Amino acid sequence: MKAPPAEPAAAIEPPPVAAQEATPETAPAEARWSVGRHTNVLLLLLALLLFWQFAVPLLVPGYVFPTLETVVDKFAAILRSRNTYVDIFNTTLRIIGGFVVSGLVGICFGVALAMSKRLNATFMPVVRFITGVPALTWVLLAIIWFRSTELRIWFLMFVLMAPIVTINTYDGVRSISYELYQMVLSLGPNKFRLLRLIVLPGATPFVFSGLKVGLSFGGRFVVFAEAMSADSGIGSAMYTMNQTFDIAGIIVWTLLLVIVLAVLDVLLTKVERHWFRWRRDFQG
Amino acid sequence: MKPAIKLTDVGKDFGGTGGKPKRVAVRRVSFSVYPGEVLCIVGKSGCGKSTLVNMMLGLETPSRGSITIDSKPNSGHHRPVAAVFQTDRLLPWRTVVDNAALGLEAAGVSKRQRHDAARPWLERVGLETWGGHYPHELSGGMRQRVSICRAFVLQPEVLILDEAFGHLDEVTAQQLRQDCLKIIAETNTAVIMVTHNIAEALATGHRVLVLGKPAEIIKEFELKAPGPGERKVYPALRDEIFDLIEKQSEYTA
Repeated sequence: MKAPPAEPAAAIEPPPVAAQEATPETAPAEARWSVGRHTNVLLLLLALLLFWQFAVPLLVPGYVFPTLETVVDKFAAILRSRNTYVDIFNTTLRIIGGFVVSGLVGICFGVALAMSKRLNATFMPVVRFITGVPALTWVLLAIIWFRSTELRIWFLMFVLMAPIVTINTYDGVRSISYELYQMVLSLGPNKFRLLRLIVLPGATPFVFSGLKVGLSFGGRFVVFAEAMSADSGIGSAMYTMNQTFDIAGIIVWTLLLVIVLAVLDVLLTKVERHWFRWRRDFQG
Repeated sequence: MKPAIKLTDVGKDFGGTGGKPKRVAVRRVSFSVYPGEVLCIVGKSGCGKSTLVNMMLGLETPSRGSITIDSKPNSGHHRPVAAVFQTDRLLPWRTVVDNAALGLEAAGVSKRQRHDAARPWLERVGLETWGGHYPHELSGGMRQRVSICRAFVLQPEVLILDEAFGHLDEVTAQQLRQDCLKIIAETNTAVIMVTHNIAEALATGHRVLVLGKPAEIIKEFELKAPGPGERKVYPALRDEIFDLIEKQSEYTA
């Protein structure tokens, strides 16, 4: 005998939208950091530190990979030096400066490419070409083209970050719902208001994604550029450590760079969360 | 009385340049709608109704003919034609009140003024306490109410309801339709209701136009019953319109 049809709809039906959405007050609390939520990460970190402290010295000699203790001592020594903070400040300033300039130019250029067929046909192949050029080529060219080390670094930041933001912004504008765009057009806005009402906010999720990728790339490239040509900054300090075969120093400066990038990423994420407070995020 | 909107031999073709074959989307359409009148347009999917709506909204330029709108000289920041679409088309990053006032913002009205203008309309549709919420916090019916507010805030002479109740459940659609018709009667707005639903057209309109494919008026029905929304569906008329549309699809198959 055939079984009666099951009633999956009733069982899995989500609660009414309005009820689901009584979350604006509760969401921030859920998102708050807590030890309980990060237990797995903390346990993994602890395991890695224990492995480093006890297993690594048995596997490789100290001059290949220093012990945890050596790195901690080096960390303390580097933090005691006043120059450390000058280096961190210089690198952070370069990252933020490159990020802001590349971000602004990338957003403006991305919007222009998406809104104008002629500009798109002319410049999009150039942007795609630039993204395909290896970073090392730009570094070598920057050394030949610019005498000032600051100019070299800013040039590298720009040429490596701006195309990423440009392409993401372009994709963001192209992804705007045609129906929404038509609706706003039907209200008769001028071009400036069209940009403000639909084009820029509609593209923002992609723009933020581009900015985050750009920040990550920029942070790594700035250190590369500093190592090649600057006399201050985290990259320069890493280069000095490399010259003296100081692996503990390289690790400490790498950690400092990661911390700087993590702080910038947290700040950007906070801005993003505020910006996208209207969005219901997917939570897997 | 002058018509609020008058279409004279309006047609629209696509293609025909760069080696692309010409496609007639709207062959020749002429009609007028007067203030306070509800004109319903029915036709098969793809017959050119959306192109006709886009032309009335100024989103497409007619290939031939003309569209004349009897716009008031100036009654604040208003648009002569506004539309409520099948989907609410609310901007997800804007609050309910900002969505309702979107048309005023597009016209450059200050934030305070546009919020002051939008709030009474939100109150009118029962959303006065939802102004600060985002669209994803609302049900489908509530979102559609916001899109109705967005249209009425502009004080349009002509309101286009483009399948405006088509994706809602029957009960919500009926409530919303009644609310909308009440406001239309009070504001004396000329309404063009585009719908697939013949029963809805007969229950709502003063006149019903049946479109062929490509869009041209193949028959017009004038309904002599009481006001829109209060009339029972005419089964015979419904069948006649159904047959007309069905025949059109046979011709174009």
